[in-house]
Amino acid sequence: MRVLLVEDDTMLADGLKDVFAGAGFMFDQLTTAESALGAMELTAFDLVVIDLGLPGMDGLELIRCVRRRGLQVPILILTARDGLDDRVRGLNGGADDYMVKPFATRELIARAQALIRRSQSNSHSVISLGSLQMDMGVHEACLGGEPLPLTGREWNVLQSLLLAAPRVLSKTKLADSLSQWDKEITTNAVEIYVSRLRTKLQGSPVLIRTVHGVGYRLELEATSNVQ
Amino acid sequence: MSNRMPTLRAALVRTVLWPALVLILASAALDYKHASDVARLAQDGMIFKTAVALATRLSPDEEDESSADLAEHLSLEDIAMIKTDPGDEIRFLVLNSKGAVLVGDSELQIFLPLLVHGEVEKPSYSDQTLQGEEIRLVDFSHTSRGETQRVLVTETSHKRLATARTLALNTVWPNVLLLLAVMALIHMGTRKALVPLEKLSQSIDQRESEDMTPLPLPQVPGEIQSLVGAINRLLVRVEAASTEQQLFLSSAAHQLRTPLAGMHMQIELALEDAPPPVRQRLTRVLGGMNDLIQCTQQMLILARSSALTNSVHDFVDMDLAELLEDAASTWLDAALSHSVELVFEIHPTRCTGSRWMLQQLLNNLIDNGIKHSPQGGHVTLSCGMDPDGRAYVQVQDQGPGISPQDQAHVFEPFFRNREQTVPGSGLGLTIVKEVADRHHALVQFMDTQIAAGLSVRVTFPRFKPLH
Repeated sequence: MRVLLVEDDTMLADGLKDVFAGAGFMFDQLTTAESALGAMELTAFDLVVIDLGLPGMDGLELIRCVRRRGLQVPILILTARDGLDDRVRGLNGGADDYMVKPFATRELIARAQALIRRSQSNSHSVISLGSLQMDMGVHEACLGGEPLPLTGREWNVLQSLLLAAPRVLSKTKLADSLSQWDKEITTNAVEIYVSRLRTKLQGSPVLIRTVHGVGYRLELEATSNVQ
Repeated sequence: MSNRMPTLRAALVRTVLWPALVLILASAALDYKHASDVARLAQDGMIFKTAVALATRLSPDEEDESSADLAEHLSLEDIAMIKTDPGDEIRFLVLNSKGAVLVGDSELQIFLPLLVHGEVEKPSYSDQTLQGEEIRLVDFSHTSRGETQRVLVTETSHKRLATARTLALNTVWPNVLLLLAVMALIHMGTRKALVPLEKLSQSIDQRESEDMTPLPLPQVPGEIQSLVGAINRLLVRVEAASTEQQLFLSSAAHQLRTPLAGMHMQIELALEDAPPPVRQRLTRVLGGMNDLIQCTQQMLILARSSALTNSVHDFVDMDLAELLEDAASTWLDAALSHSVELVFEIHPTRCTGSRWMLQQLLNNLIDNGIKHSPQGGHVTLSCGMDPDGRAYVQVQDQGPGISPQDQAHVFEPFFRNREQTVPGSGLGLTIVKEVADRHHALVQFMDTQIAAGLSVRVTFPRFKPLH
């Protein structure tokens, strides 16, 4: 995975470099929007992290330029401004996610991975969380290198959870995504699929956490202990 | 509006009423004097005529040398005629040139020393008192055939005084009525003239505190237009100051948050491969760093939400349930690291508000709930519509709660109670209150008597769709 960071603050950029490297990413950093635009045309990045408050051309303008040129790379905005206006403008401009400084490092990595997963789910590629891998092309899942046999519905539930992670996916949204025009899936049915998946995931660090009253989150066991 | 200053109406009535009263009294006095003069003139004419009649009838005959018994010349009818006046009593006294009484009331002699004997044929009038009554007296001397008679005629003044009083009252009453009518008209007139002013103050009262649009000028009278103009100029200045503050906050946010993010990350990285003694110190630094970050965030949020004078356009119709669902993702990791479980009771909840501000409100309630709950505790987040059709959101924790004496103060910025051991900026509930106020919502502590922690409920006004 190759990440480009466009950020002019050296202390932050230097830290992010180590954080992304530690999470297994290849990392490039540029300080201006103009140079970033050139780099993106030459290199296929898996993710671009952009600070909105750049000198010269600002982050929002950079995002618009990138999208105008037809580049589909997922974009994560970093900003010091927390107003909703900025957020809406950023997302409308073509960004995929948004984080306000200062942020938790772990959350940044989780969001970065989620963005990459989602962008890859559109292509026929493999998306993963820890030791869980799902091959979108051939509809085959692996857990710790071993094949994980899944029924059609179980595949759908697990794929939705994997694409949503690290976010909590509500039961109703899960049910909606499973429902087809001829069949309505109830939230009770969702609970049954989740319980079957839990049995199949048992013994691996991948787990489905229940958030009472909302829904589920797919996570790695370690995340609950990491501070 | 304060009632200490006299109202315009009262001031107007006062400035008109007193001078008008003085004028009316003065005019009444003048009227009385005038009426009095007229009545006196009439009375004088009457008694003079009587005096002339007496003097001429009593003229001695040419052949009568002695004027000893002039009284006989005065017939009884004459006397009756003179003396019969229904209202007033007429008396007379006739003296010869030597001062001897010829005929009449000798009582009148007491006035002789008081009177200066004037010229012949020229009456002189004076006011006198006889037996406690005011009387008018004429002193008239008449010469006929070398004989001069002096005639005194008096008349009590009842009729004259009554006439003067009637005349005066007849002119005073209309004046008083006129004054009352003018006062009533002034009262009505000012009330009517002040209607636009009252409307103006109502329209200002009904405004949202964030509304900075200028007041409409054409609807107010000319005298108030300059005031409205001044208010409008003030509004422009306030709006400019608020915009400036927003810009300042925006750049302050950038200047503060970026280095904080960098430092936080550097400390985290240093912590990963630090030897144990250094690790201990760094953990403390990281803790302090987190406090600093939270405090900065909250101060910026507070400053921003109070500076959001134009935030009405930020208000949208929304479902609080979605906000709570988002909060599940945001706060799950923090809850897990405190070994606290988040429990949601979510119902569809229609509400109008600023998404960003309500997020801050929820964040602060949830953050408090997680921090104050014991390990293994629950933080319950619920939202819904109450029986009155008002949206509410409620966060309940299992922490120590807030004592009743502290409840009055927890919304004050930087308030910390003495036993507090949980780190925090002391701004969380201030933000909750600020955001609630902006939404005309009510913040309540529920069931605080029960030892099972703190429950904060925010109740919004009845939902009215924006569009």
